[in-house]
Amino acid sequence: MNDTSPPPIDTAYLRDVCGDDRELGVELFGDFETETRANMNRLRGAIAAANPVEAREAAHGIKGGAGSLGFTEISQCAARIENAARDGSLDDAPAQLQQLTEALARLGSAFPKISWD
Amino acid sequence: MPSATPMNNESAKILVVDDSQVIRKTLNKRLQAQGYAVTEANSGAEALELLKKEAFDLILLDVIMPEMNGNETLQEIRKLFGPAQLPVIMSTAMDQSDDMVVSFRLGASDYVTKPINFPVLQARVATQIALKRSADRLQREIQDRRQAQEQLKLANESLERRVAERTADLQKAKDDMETQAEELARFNSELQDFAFVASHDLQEPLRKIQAFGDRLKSKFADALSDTGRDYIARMQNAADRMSELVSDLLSFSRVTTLSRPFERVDLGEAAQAAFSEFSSEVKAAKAELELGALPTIDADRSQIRQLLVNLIDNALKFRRPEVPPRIRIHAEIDGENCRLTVEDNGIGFDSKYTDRIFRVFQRLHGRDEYSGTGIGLAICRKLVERHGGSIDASGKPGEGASFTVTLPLRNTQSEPESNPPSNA
Repeated sequence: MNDTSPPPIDTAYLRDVCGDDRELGVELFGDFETETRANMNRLRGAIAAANPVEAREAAHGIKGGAGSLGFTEISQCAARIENAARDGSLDDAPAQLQQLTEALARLGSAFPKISWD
Repeated sequence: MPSATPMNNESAKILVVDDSQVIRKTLNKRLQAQGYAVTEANSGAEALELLKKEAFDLILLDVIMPEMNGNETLQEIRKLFGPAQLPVIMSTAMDQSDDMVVSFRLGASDYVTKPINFPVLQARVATQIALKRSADRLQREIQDRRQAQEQLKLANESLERRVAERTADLQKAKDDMETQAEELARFNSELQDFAFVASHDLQEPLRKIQAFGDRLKSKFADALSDTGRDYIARMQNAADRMSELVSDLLSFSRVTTLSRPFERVDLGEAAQAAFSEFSSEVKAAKAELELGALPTIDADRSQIRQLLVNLIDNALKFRRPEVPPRIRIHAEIDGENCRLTVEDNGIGFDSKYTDRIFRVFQRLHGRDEYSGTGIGLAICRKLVERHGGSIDASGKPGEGASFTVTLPLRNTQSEPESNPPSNA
């Protein structure tokens, strides 16, 4: 992660979606984790199998879910893979996958620290 | 922050179609908070299934989905519902503008980009639902009017049908009546022709019977016994009687076959002339005529004369023995009619026979008591009716009779009803 990387969570957007409803935020985060776990597995398999179509769909799924909850860093990371895959290129995909994995880890530690008050 | 106060969206129903559960749920929460009723579908196929079972006011449709994507789903939706019936807002990533061009061509109503800007989404959803509501109202109004028009048309058709039926009934009744009237007129005309021809042609053999009877009597009387001469006398009486009948019958039929155009007729002069025909009977019976002031009317001169002759003849014939006949003829004007009365001081009759005396060959007395064929008054009635008038009689046995003829003063009818047969 370098200095220009966006923060893992756009809290203003998340608050726009959930208000101060912590329970809803936690529920949506849980849904996101489940959905993303499946998409990550799919994405890894697609990169290993050099399947850009499959990789694009998986990356798109991660991008949308993250975007809808204000997880900006992950959303942008996934968008880079999606765009490259759309152009048929998976050359940078392993490195991007690594970045995505790290971003997910950052989100995992940042989310519980959100102030809902 | 989502508002806790739902807007007045009257539970408009929105179908959210997205393959991401997270996105469906976030949209659902936000839209529910606005007062909308939200249903979720995780694929185009599920959305189409729901649309077959439930009515929605709006669809929020993700463009990029596995298997059936948003545009393919939209295409299927538009086969079921037009843009005015069901607005569809597409949701797409910011960088997918090519897809949006396709979406609009396929009938998308609007689009939002992801990540969703919720105020923008709410504004677009509200606009589309308001448009749909107007379209619905317009559609209902069109249907109401169409229904009203249909009812009006049905009512009109029913009315037209009833009028047509009634018209047909009336036309048929009129046709039937005209047919009957024509048949009656033809029948009447044939009957008159028949009466005229029959009575006219009967005279010829009758004259031969009379002539040969006369010759038998004058030339061979000596050769016959008293019984033979009595037979001839009886035969001649019968022939004379028949001649009288035929002659009267001919007169009766001539009322119509020999009618003439109407002209101005002075009833006073006509009565005087008729009375003068009976000069010998008048003298013998010492009869008196009292003639009042009579008007001038439109009539067939010869027929009026015959009418008066018949009535005077009647008064003289049915006189009381030993009582000189007094005949009084007078008239009064009643509006557009003239009422002419012929009164006598004769034997009179019972008023219950009034109808009978005007019928052909009807007699109240035996032939040996009073001469005549019983046709005179029938001719009178026919003459009067031909002039558009009427005749009535009253009387008491032994106290005289009174005949009243009502005739129009002016009568435009000037054409004879029919012409006599050519051999008349």
